Amino acid sequence: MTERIAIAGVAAAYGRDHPAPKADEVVFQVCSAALRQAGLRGQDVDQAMLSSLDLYDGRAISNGLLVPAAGGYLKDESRIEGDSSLAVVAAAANIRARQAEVAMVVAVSLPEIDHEQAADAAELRRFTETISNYTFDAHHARPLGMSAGVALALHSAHTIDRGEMTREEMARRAAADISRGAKTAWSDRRTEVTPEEVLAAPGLAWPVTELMLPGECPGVVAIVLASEARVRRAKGTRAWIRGWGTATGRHLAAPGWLADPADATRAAATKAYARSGIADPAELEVIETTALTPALQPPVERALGLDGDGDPRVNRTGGATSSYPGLANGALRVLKAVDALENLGSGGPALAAVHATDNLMGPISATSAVLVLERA
Amino acid sequence: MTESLVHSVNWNIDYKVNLGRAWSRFLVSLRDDRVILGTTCGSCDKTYVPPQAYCEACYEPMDAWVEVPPTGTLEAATIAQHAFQGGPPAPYAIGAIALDGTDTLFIHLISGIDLSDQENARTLLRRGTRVRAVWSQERTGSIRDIDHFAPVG
Amino acid sequence: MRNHAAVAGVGLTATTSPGRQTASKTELCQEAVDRALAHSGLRRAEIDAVVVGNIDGFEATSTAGRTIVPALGLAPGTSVYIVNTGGTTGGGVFNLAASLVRGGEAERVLCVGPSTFDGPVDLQAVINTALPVAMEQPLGIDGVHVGGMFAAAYQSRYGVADEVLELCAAQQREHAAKNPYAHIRKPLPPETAATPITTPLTLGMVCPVSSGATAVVVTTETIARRLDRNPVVRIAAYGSVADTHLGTGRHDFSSCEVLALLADRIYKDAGIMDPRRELDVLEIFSPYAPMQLILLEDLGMCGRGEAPHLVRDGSLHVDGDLPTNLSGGPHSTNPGVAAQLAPVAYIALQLMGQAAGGVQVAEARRGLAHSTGSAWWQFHTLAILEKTE
Repeated sequence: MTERIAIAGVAAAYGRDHPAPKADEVVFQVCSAALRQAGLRGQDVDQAMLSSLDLYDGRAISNGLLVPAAGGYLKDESRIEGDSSLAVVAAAANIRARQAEVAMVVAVSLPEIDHEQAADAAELRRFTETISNYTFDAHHARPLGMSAGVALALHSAHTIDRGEMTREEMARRAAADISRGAKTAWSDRRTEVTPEEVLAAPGLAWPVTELMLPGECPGVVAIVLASEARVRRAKGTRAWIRGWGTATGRHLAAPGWLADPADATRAAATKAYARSGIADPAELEVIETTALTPALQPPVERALGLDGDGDPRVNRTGGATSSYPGLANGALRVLKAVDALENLGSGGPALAAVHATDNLMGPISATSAVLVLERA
Repeated sequence: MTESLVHSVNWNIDYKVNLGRAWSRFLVSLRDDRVILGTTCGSCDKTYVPPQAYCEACYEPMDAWVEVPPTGTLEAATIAQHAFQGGPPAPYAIGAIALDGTDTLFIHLISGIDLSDQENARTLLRRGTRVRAVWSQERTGSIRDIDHFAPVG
Repeated sequence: MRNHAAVAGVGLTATTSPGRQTASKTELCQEAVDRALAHSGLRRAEIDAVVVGNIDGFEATSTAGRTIVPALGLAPGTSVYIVNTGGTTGGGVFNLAASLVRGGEAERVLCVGPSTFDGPVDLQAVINTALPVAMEQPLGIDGVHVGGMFAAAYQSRYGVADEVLELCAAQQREHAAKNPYAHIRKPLPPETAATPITTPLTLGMVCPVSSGATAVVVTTETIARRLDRNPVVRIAAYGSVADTHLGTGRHDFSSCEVLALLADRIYKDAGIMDPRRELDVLEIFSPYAPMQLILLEDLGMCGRGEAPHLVRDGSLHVDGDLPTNLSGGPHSTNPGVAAQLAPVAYIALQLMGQAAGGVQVAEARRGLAHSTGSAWWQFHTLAILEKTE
């Protein structure tokens, strides 16, 4: 096992409650809140590690605006254009490499579009689908209209055709996730729904309806990471990161992304468990996964070593179907796992697994990260 | 050798960018009052123009607003001879101005002199030149509500 | 057990203008990666992570790294990290690779620097979109104006003649003439070079838009030693720094003040007391030739306002006491992220004793690679590489 990394503070702001923010002003507020939890100041930050996407932010090199707001002024900085779980991994690697003692990981997903539009999951999806289309290569897949939603629909159709899940079961799973999350903090879809309502929701591409897709919402999540040595002189540790693994999935033309869309999750989990000393996933008490559709739930859960069928430890607050703040998703899943570990109360070690991936191209060419957290 | 193809690719995305509290107040003040506002950090006492909602050096919120005069001293300027797609017509000059009463360098256009005579213009826009804001007739809540800064005698 | 990170191999492609380029971005990356792997002696399947850079808005595809990496023939599941910090992306790619190795996350990391500037029809119009929205974008500022502002401030503060700025350009082009990977290898005709761009910069002082790719393989020092292909080049120190976003936050355009801070930090990490004497070769990022003066001063190579002497007295040539940008630098070759990663590649080749084109510095033991970018050179990266015995 390698050395642990402390999660000294986690804070978030997202969803429709945050009207008309300027991105850096929100980042400053959220990072400040995370630092207060940690008992640290902006000057204590050695490195700002961002996760954001220029095409959401409406400007090239958008981290230029955001880095000083994240405590990065005169400090080390970098930005991952991918799910924020990778920014956590990159910052943690920097701490282990002794490049930083305190790293501010901040995930920013505040699409610079009309507010009403950004506050509505379906409207927001129209924008993110356009960006997704621009993420597919310009000469082959893009002119054909490929997007994350289309890729997810292809996979769902494939799942039905193979007799692995019915459309009704997809609706049942989506309704269960949305309803379970509806009354919890940090949820974006706040109304309970029935499977019938999921099926009756506007369709994106058959067999997928709007309510089977991730609950897209704007969001900023900040995580203060610190070395074990440094955190002793902070206010405390909310949780430890014990180990992690990452792997990247197959590309559009590679055989297998339809039949085995969670191969990267499996590889990431294998690494993460081995590095965290987990012999059996039964040791985990809390599991946050990122299944972008109901059809992806069984493969993702099996890849994490679970049986794939309604494990009560998984996504107690509804997972990505309930709320999905773009690239901030991984950081949100970490926040939820940290909260859940704390809610277990004290008494002995308790472990959580966080699985995260992006939805820039659906399950295609996506990097998955699995992090194992430990109760402080 | 096979033919080598080139494709034209175009993105078309409309954004609406939030300017936030500090910049909104700054631009509204330019538009309505022809007044340049800055914010002063209560911790390090530096005054920022354009204003910011927080001091990045102290990592503290800034909410002390100050009015600064529309005058300053040129630190540097460059006279652009070529326009780019969507930019202003050339020639035009961009200056870094130490506005009086601030601790930052304000970037704006410098005009009011003949920019076509490049060598003469360079002399007129040397470091230390005093400049003053010239307001636009039509103000819309944009940085161009100050049309430019002009050298003053 | 933590291990030092080392450069095991590098791969550069030939570069040319976008109009003459017939290879695609992906094909260029394949070529650079093939060369880097061959140079290191590693097999493709042994790579356990890839760090790739892209700059959205400058390229036809968003997060273009996602479409490039699958074409590199790596093992299924190989972790991909995409870095985008604008003009320091290439430096950021290398820094992250070093941390993944030093932090124990990966043992053999491939850094990919794609060609990222060769797509836009009007590159300067794209660069303008990286300037602060609402405050500086509407003023018509693009990359050359940032370069012009710094050069003008430096020139007026220290009373530097235009001839010195021209000499900076001429020297770097002279170096490029010997570099088989460089793009502009002949001086421009004098009247073309004199075309005014933005004062005090003329066309001869401004970088071209180039097309080409760079790849670097970073491994643990133990693995690099075991491969036994090249002298082992340790990554002794590395890091980055951020300034304010608005040009407004600067106090002085005659210096990149934050680079001096970063240099202090990196020299301390590398145990360097006197950088001028202890560094044998430099590759610094000056797409606008006169930037070299400012960067050398911020890097502590001479006092403020003294850099023109280094240019005039020949110190920066291969036989000088401070060989700088022997590759010709980004002033002669600027394919975007590929150019930002190239300084690391050129320094590694120097330390391995394998510099091409007759510019090998005798007994080069320690070198420095720099990149900078974003609005008003907001970001800088540095890495110090060291040959170990």
